[in-house]
Amino acid sequence: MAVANPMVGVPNGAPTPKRSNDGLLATIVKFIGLAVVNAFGLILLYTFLNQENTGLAVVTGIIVLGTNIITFLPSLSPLRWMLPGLALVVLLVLYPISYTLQTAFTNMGNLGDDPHPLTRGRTATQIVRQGGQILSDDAVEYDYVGYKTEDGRYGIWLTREADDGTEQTLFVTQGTLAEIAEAPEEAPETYDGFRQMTAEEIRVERRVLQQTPDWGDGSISVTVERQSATVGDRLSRYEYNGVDTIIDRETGATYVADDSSGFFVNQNNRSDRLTPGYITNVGFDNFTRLFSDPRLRGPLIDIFVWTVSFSILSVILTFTIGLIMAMVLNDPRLPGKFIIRSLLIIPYALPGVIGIVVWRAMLNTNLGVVTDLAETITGSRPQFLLDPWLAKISILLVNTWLGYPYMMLVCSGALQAISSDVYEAAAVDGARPSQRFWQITLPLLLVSVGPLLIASFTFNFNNYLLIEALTLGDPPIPGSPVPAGYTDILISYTYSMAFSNDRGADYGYASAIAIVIFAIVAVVTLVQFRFTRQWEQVGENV
Amino acid sequence: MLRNKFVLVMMLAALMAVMSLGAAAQTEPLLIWADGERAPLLTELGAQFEAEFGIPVEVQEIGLGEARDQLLVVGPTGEGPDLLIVAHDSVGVLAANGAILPLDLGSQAEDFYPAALDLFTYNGELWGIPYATENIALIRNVDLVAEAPATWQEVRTISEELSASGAAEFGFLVQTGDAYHNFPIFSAFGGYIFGRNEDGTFNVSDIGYTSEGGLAAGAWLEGMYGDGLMVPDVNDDVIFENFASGDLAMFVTGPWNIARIQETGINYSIDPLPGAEGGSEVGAPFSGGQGFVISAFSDKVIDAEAFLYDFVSTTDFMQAIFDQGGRPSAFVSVDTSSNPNIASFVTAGETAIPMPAIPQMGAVWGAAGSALTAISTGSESAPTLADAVEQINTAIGLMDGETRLFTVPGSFNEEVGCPGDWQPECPATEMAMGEDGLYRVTLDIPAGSYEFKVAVNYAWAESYGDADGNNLILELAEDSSVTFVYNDETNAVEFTTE
Repeated sequence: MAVANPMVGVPNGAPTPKRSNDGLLATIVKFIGLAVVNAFGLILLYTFLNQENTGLAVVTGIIVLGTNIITFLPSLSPLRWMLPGLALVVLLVLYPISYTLQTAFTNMGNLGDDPHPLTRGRTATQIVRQGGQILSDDAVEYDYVGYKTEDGRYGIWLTREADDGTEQTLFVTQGTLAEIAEAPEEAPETYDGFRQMTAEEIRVERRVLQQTPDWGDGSISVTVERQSATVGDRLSRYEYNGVDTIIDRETGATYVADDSSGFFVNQNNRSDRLTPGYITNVGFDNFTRLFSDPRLRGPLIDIFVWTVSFSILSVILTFTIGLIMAMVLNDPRLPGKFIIRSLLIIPYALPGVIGIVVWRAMLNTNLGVVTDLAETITGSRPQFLLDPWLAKISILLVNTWLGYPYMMLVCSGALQAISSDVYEAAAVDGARPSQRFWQITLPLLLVSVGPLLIASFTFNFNNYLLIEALTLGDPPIPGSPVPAGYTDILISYTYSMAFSNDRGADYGYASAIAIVIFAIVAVVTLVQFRFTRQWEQVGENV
Repeated sequence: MLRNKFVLVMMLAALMAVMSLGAAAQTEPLLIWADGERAPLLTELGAQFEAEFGIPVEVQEIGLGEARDQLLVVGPTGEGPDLLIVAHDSVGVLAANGAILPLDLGSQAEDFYPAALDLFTYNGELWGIPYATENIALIRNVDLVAEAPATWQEVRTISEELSASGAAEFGFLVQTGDAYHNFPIFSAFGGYIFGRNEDGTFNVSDIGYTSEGGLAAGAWLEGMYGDGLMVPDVNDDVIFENFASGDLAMFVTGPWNIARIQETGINYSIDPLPGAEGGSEVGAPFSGGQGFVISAFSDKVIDAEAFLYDFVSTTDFMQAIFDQGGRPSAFVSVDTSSNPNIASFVTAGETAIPMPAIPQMGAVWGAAGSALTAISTGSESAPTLADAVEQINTAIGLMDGETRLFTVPGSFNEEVGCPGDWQPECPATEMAMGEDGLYRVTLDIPAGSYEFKVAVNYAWAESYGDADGNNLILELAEDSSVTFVYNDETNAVEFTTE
């Protein structure tokens, strides 16, 4: 039936695309446009390479290159109209998928107790930064007092007690370093044209003292820190050789990158490792861990059964109610159609989260309007969100409320597309209304709506938002080896496996879970497409 | 022709790219990430900082929890903040991930309450400058309950009297399934979350929900729910609705709800949490805090430090943030007399226990929360709490922070590819854990007579042999494949030969 017209959208007599005779202005505009795109691409490429983000750099490269090839090769020029679409597919679909796949085979994550947040080089940089600085062997630390002149030059008065108990005093400015033999007990108010800075001046200008680069006469380096000043070299505590080794200058230990564990490990004591660790390939570890995880052997079967039944029932309920509404609205005798239709669409137009949170309040055991209503009718207050069965029913009701307007819209359109000839023929044959519905309307409807039902199933299979906002998976299943609730679906349950709140996130593991769930959904969807094909055959037979 | 055009386009593109990159390379301000509540105030104070110190400040608004996860994503790109506000329980994760820098207050540490600094201390180092602390307290309707109850048993008596006389429906309600708000009840009866080792660190294998005190608290909750004195499915909305209508006499909440308490118009009092007969004299809430940390990705560390030490750690700044935030200050010299409610929360927080900032806490919230929800709907408390402890143990067991690695050093090591014999650090003999929790490795060893042990973490510090700790003996008449099995619970070593 209803074969789409292949020529739709191409008006007859439209001029065939010309290439060489475009006119000078059009060519210039085209090339400037392309140059802008290329410039933008180059900037992105530069930024991504700077950030060592090879993945996105490659994607940008492909998109820019593709744009140029398509623009310059005449044989590919029809693809020009697909360019934005193709670019977005590469950027927003292909790249995330390949990135997830790649991550699933790494230990990437920021768990507090097993951190592997960054690549090896960047991790080493962070270790070096966190380690701070230590004094070199011949460097000495002094207490300091700040001085300045009226024209804004700074000086520092350094004092320390040497190992032999004598006081050592230095006065250092930019360019000079003078040892003071007979130093007064306290730093003097003024010295050599400098005056001592007040506490308030020190507070505001200490950072200037710290950032002044050229203290002293150049014979030895002088640096000012917050608490003290150092004469002699300061070194960073950890030294990274740029490849795979970090040396701890304080203890002398050598840490070598161990790609199997993703840590820099002390060669003499393998249990001593530097944190954080770095991202490394762990092969199928995340998958084996997933399948050996005791949490999977726990309530998983219950959760899977509920997930599937929740998705199927949601589709059936939303479709049934949507279809009924659509058929009612399709009846020409119904008055005020516009207003009714607008009102019925409200649940769909409302942001889902708001609808769900309002429902949660209405179903609350203590304050909920629905609970109050149920009390007036039955005399007791049902625990809608805390009783295992009532919670499941509540979830289905809320999801139906959220989902039927969409089905109603889709069905209204599809119903109008069913040719009235078929109904006339049925009327001639003396078909009853129920026969007309079951043997004509429904089969024809399913042909066009079937794929949407499958999409709806897939969506509900992963409907994390609904569960999280309505019940958080509660009520809890007693005796389960891990926290799990009667209303948890696969995605909400596994989300808490990978991102349990205060521990940080385990991206590698989460990606592995995502891939497994994707595989499950893909299989289920393929099976359902089989069914759709059967519907289509029904449709052709009508 | 085509090539010329292409070269032209690329040259044009390169020119534009270089020009716009050059335009972007200007001096950047000190970037601060702050939550929505603090951001407007910080923008204001940032202008003051710029006037005083000459360093421009930019404030970006980002939620407390999000800031923690985003820092690791954005930081490496160089676009991240120099400073950010975090809750104290993020500090451990951030420090372990190399995302923030250790701080040293020096003599300025005296300006802060030691308990507040403790919250931001991780592995013996200070990682953040706290500005506020928080803890929950008991809120009481003074007209319904004239005197603050001293024990939870008294709370129960009051509840019974109020509901019997019809003066109020509920004497006390607590947020359902919320381990944080329920904790004072457990601590009053002598319960705890993690026990302590002798050195003061947490002992994560000792979980206090099933301790004597924990079970007593569970029984108290079970009794309150079972006798209809408390109801399930309670959240802040339910509490404030009932409190405002006079149907609820007492509940627990923190300083973040002061405005909401005042809005109810009820004559209220903020009191320390009750103790328990047979437990402690006062209940201990958890304490938490908020503060500033310096990003380890920052290239303006000295400026950021100046902001923290010389600007944030001053009375003026701390007073401003106290006046706006309505939470107990972490700074000693802040004048809190303008807000007597805060003083009450501080009094209630005197016994507060710092919320354990260890990763294992992540395992607690979900499991304990589920147990509390289950108790609220009529489950028996003792087995439910036992389930929760089991769940916490399972979750902690899955964490691999305390990885123990096992190798088989022995006189055959060189034969299986190690650089020498008796090498506990040789990865070739590392054992892998099987599904049954036992560690195994299978090695092909030529015929001969050998001795060996099992060593922990690649070192001799901890190693196991036979029951007396001596070397085990391996006699092979022919080349064989030997499977070594180690049980880390009994420390027993076995092997089988094929």
